[in-house]
Amino acid sequence: MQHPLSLSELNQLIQQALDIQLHPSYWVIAEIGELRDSPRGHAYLELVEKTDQQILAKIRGNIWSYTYRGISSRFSSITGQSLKPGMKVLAQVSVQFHEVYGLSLNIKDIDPNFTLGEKARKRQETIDRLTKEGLMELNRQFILPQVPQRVAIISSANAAGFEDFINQVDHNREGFQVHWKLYQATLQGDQAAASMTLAIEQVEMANQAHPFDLLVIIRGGGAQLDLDCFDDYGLAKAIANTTLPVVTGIGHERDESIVDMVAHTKMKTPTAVAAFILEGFREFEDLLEKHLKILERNAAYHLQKEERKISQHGHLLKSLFQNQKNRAQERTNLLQYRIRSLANQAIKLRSHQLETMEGIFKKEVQGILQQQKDKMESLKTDLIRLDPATFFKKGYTRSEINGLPISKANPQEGDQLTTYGAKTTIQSTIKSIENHE
Amino acid sequence: MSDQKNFSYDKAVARIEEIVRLLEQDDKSIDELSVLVKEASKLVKDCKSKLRMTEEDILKAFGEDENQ
Repeated sequence: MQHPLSLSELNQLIQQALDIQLHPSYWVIAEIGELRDSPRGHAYLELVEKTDQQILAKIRGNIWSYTYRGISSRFSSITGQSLKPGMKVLAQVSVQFHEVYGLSLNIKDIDPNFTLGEKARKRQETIDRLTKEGLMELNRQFILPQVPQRVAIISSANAAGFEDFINQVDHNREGFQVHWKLYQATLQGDQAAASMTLAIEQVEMANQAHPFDLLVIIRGGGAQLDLDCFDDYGLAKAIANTTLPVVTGIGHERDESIVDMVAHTKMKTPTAVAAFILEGFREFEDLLEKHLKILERNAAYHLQKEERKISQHGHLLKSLFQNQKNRAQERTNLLQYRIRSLANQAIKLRSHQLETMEGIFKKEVQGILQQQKDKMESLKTDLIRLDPATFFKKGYTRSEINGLPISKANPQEGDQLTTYGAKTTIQSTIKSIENHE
Repeated sequence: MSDQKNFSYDKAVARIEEIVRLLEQDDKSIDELSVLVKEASKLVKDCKSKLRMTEEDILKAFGEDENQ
């Protein structure tokens, strides 16, 4: 039986064997399983290699503080993110064995380009998957509304880009009214993709009751770091499947993110998104004005045409009316003339008749008068003839007895006789009577 | 001629003719005769005057007509 060794002797043997057998350092591909920063500035990690479910290898590692500062800053500047669990890295390590602490890796360097390439590969995988599933072009099938008046915004209320966007949209110089509603989401960190996906779901729910015209995802200002969430497959899928056209303004300088690729329209910054929305309003207003001008022109043209037509009709009507009037006037004049001449004739005739009648009448009257005059003359003559004075003038006398003429009185002798003469009245007494018969 | 308004030419003529007839009958006293003659003479004068006036009226009427 071999002579037994003390544990420290064994550990020394292991260390010697490792020193002899292993190179001073190796480049190793591994995933960061855990990463802790120590108060002294060192980093303690756990490196793993795994398939989908199974861990194939695992080892502890550390990065001493002076190395860690250099690695970390270089890594950030090249990859745009900091080292964190879940990342695949290419690390230069030396294998260390400590009698007390056992086996570990001292990490001397990490190649950021590997991680970058790895990220690009993963990103490409995501793109390929989305393409295969027909999700890349899905959102672009929507026709972008020309005047998006109701806009759902996914952003963070305290993001500088969100404020810029709201300022521009709310205080545009034309006074266009854009109604917007903010759906809060975390825009960076591990939770960002899930948070934005959730926000999209909320927008979808709200959209059923009060439809939006547009969904806007904006981010801006702040660190350029950690935009990985915008390459997330789940988020990209949610955007592709949403029922609204999506416009992004994520605000990064690097290659466009997968979210940008899946979205309907990609703008560089939130301000650009606001300008894009307002431009739609402007173009629509210009179009309206153009239509209005055409309308005005057409209306003016038709108005003029109709005015001419009406004026022509008016003239025609006037001249027709004038003709009619003239004709009627002539007819009236003729009738008037005829009436006058007929009336004159009738008057002349009547007047003639009247004159004739007057003549006849005069003659009649004269005749009657003359007749009466003659009658008067004859009556007068009779009266003169019968007047006793006439007899007396001629020397005749008249004798009466008791007021009766002698011829009617039957005179007797002795009767008192009264005899009337022209100048005398004689009283006598009858002496004798002689009969002549 | 106060009684001109009530004067009737026809009645006057009738009266004159009656008086003439009475005179021709000759059975009145000379006083009555004298009164009758006077009455008739006045009536004759009135009638003549009436005739003259009538003539004038007629002439005037026609004359006015012509002047119109």
